Amino acid sequence: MPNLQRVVVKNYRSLEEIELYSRGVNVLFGPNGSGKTTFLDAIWFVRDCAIRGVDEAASQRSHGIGVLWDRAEQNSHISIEIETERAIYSIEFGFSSGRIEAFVGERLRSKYNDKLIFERIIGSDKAKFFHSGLSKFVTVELREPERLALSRYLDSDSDLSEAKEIHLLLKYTRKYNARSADIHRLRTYGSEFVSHQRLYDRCQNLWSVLRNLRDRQDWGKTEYETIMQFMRKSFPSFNRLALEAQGTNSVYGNFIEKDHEEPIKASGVSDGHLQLLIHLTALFSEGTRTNLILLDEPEVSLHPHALAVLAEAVEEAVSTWNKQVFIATHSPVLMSQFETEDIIASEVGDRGQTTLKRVSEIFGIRDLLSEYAVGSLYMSELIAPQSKLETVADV
Amino acid sequence: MSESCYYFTFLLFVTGKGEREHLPKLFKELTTSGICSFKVVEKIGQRRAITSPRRIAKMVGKGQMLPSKDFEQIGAPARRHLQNAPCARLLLIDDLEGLDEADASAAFQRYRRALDEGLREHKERAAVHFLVRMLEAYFFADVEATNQALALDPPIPSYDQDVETTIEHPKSELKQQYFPQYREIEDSGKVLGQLSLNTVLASPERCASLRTCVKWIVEQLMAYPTPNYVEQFSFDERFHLQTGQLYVVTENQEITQHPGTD
Repeated sequence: MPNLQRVVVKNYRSLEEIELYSRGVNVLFGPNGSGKTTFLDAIWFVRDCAIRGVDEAASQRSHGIGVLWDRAEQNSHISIEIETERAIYSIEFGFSSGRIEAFVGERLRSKYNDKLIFERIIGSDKAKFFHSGLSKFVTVELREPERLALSRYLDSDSDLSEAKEIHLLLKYTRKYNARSADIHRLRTYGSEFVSHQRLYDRCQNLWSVLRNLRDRQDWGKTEYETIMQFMRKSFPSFNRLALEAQGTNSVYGNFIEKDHEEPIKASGVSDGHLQLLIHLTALFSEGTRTNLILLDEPEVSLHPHALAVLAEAVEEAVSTWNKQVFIATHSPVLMSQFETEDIIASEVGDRGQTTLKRVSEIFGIRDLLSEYAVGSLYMSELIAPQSKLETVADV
Repeated sequence: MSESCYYFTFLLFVTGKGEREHLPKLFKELTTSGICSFKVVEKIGQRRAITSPRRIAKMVGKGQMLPSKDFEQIGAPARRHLQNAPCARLLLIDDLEGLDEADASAAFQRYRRALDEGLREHKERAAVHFLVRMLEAYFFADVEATNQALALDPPIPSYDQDVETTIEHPKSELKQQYFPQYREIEDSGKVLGQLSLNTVLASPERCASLRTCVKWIVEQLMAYPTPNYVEQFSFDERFHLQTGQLYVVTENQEITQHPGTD
C-alpha cells in the first residue's frame, strides 16, 4: 500500500482541479507545459510548508504571484489535499495583495471515523484542535502562525496517529530535479561532510552520503552495495568508487573502472555516471525508511540501457525498500519500462487546464498497448500529443 | 458496427505535391450529395515494396516491439485522425507511376499493413488507392476541362483510350506535347477545378483504378442512415460502379459495416 494514497490539487498553476490515486510507482509524461512538474511541485509545496514554513515555501514560488489558476473565480484559493492510509490533510492558500497569505487554512480528518481532528481557517492565528481527553474541540492560539497548525498539533496531548502519519510523509518526502543537481560542485569541489545519509535536493552532499553508507558499521552496507550493483549493471566498465577525504571537511569521489588501476576523478567521468549515481543514492541511501521520492526528468544524460536499469532500481526501491516514487519524464525509453497502470498521461485541456489519466485507462489505445511500448505510442503522438492535427486542403 | 453518420469526412493521405494541394477537388461531384467532404491531412513519403526480410526492433529493457517507420508515419497518424472522429474515413492515395501489377500489389500490401497495424478494428474505415499512373493521366480523360482550364491552343484532341494504361508518363506527355510551361501545383489545381468524374468515368472500360476508389467512397456513403438518399444521386450509374472495370489490386478492401447489417 503506498504511503501517499491520493492527491487533490485545485487552482495551482495549470492544475485547475486534479485528483490522482497514487501507486507505488507513478510515471507522468506529456507535452511541455502540461503540468507534470507542477503536479510534483504541488506535493513539494505542502512539504515545504511543513518543513520550512509557509513564508519560505511561498517565497520559493514568487510569493505566490501568478500561481493561482488564471481562470479561477474571484476570491478562490489554492487547495492541496493529501491522503494517507489513516488521514486526509488539506491545506488552503489564500491571497492578500496578490501574495500568498502566510496564515493558511488547514484541515485534518481521520479516515477511520471520518471525524475532523483539527481545523484552521485562512488568515487565522488560531486553530481548533479536537481534544480526545475532553472529547471536544478547543481553540488553540498558534505560537508561530506562519507555520502549519499540523506541527503545533503534534505537540498536543491528543491522539496523534493520523497527524504523525501526515507529518512523517512530508518529513520524508524528497525531490530531485536532474537539471538542478549541482554536478559542477561535485566535480570540482567534492562534498562537505555530513553525518547522515539523506541526499540534499541539489545533491551537493553526494560523496559524503556515499562515504557514510560505505563506512558505517551499523547501517549502510547493503544500501551502498545495492547502489554499486546498479551502477555496474548500467555501466559495464564501472567497478567501484574510491571516496577520499579532502582536507578536514570534504569528500571527493573517484571512479575505478574494470581493468584500470588509476582512478578517474569525478571531473573526468560522464554526466550520465554522475546522474545515475545521484538517482540511485536518492532511492537507496535512506535504507528501508518510508520515503516519497519525486524525480523530475531523471533521464537527463542517460543512455537507454542506463534508463532501463534506473527503472529496475525504481521498481526494486518500491517493492522492497518502502519507497513510493513519482517521476516526471519525456523519455519514451524510461516510461516504457513500467507497467501501464503506473504510467500517467498529462495533457492540456481545452481551457489550458491539466488533465491526468492513467495509460491503462485511456480508451482507444488498449489494443496497441499489448504489442507496442508506451514510449513508442508517445513518440507516434497517439498518447499525449504535443502537435495539433491540421488540414492541408479541402473541398 | 459503426454508429450512424449523417456526414462523412474523407481524410486524404497523399504522396504527391499536386495531390497535397488540390486532390479533394477530384471528388467534388461526390460532395454535391451534401453529406461528405474531402480534406488532405497528411503528406507521406511514397512507399515501394521492401525486398529484405522484415525485422522487428525491440525496446531496451522490457523488450516491447518498436514500431516501424510505416507505423509511425502512416498507421499512427491514421489512428490519431480517426480515433475521435467516428464519421471520418481515410483514403491513402498514391501515384502508381511505372509499377507493374506485382509491384503495385506489393506497395498496396505495405500501405495496407501500416494502416491495419495502426487502426486494428477500425481498419475498414481506411482504404488504399492508386492514381494510375499519376494524377495528370485523368487530364486526358476529360480533355475539354483540361483545355479550358489551361487555355490550351492547340487543344488536346479527344482521347478515346484508357488513360490509366496507355499513356506512359502523362505529366511528360502534357508538357512535351501540349503545355511546356505546366506547373504541377498551380496548374493541377486549375484542371481539377473543372475536371468532371462524370466524364472521366463515363466509359465502363476505362479508369479502373479511379473507379475502384470512387466505388469505395460511395460504399462508405451508403452507411448514411437512409441509403435511399445517396441512391438518388445515381453514383453507381454515372460512374459505372457496379458494371465497370475495377482494379484488381485495390478492389477487395473491407467496407465499414452499416448500421443494421451483420
